[in-house]
Amino acid sequence: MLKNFYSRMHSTKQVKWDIMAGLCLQRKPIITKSLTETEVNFQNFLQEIEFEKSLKSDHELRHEKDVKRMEKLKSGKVIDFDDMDQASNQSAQDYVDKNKEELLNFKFASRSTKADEINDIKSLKRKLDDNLVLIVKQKFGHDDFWVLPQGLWNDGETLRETAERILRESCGNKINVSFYGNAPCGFYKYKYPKQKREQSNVEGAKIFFFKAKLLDGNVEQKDTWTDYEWSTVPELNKKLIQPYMKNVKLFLSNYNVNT
Amino acid sequence: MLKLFSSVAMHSQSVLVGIRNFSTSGGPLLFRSSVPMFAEPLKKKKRLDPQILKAREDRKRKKIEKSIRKLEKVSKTLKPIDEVQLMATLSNERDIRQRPTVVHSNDKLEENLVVAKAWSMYKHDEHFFNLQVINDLEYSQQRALNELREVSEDLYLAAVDIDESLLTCQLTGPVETPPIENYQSPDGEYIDISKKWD
Repeated sequence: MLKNFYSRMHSTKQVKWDIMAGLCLQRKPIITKSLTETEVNFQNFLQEIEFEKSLKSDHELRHEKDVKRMEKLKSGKVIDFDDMDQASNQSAQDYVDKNKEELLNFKFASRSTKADEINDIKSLKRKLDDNLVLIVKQKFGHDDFWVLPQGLWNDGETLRETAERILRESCGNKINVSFYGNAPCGFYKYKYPKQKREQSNVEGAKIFFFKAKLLDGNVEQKDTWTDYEWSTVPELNKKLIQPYMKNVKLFLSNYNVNT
Repeated sequence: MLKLFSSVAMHSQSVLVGIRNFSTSGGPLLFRSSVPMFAEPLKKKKRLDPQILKAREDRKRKKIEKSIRKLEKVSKTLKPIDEVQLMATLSNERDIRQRPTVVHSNDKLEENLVVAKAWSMYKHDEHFFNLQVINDLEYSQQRALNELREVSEDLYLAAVDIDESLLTCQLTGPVETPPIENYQSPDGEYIDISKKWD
């Protein structure tokens, strides 16, 4: 028994792990999330209170004056030249109408885009109100898996440098990102299949994840992966395999209460 | 007595040896004339009119006082805040500007209560959710760092190093509608009308 224990101790000492860096590249939301029902209700409630407590503005006073003057003119009482002059001028209502027309003529960009309609999961213009994370399809052994872009650490570089190299290797040079510091934000380790373990004498891989924010540019075709996707967190939930997702989810702050 | 004087005399004689002067007697009186000074007599100080002097001093004092007053004035005046200062006309027009008070029905009041309560529940949940998220983030990062330290101390030290490029961080928040592509903004010049205070 002692011998067994000793050999186990011995073997754990000699176990080698591959060190890897993973890249969690995010496209941050461009537009605000649409309000929930509670938020809308409370917003209306606050606006009501604010209106009741406010004093009348110059514009409202002017409008009231206009209305009174029109009544006077209609009834034919006291026709003053001053009043006539002012009545021919632009009234407060005219002013409102003019501004409303200008507002209507201006076309705001739509909050849902073409990419949303055709559900283009490769587009950066989808789900503008949500956090998008880059995932790639990589071959491990015989199977394809959806993972965050990852790569082996080379001797002599810091992990942050590894993460930057992986960005270039998997996304090309036409992409501009900013990393969130030198420290990894998450960790995941997995064991290689038994056959590979015996072959290479490497137990498994330890992946250290680095977070980065997309500034501009997009992903270029590279041979380190077969497919890529910009997905939201609920979609990640379906795509990534479970123990991996559990660790990734920990450092994704933008998931909803419900997911 | 004599003994005393003689001793003095003896002493002074020994002092006098090297000095060129004359003495009428080497006796205990030790009469000595002072060294003659060959110099011009001092000029008599010109006396100024005391009134002019006084005027001069006054001028000096006034100058200092003036500068002090100036400094005090500057320190007392605060930067004006236009938004805070109400126009006098507004307070005069208060009665005209007052809105008629609204009396809500009981149903409406109840409804408002429900909305406010729902909101506070909502914010409460949100707050605890945020705490959970922060907790997860911290846990995840600390675990990663611990594991990294086990792997290699050098890599750990590189990881906890401060990244100075992160400072002067500028964020542009999410907006209501996305920017319009290739939007040509209407003509016009940008004029900065914000006031400057020294």
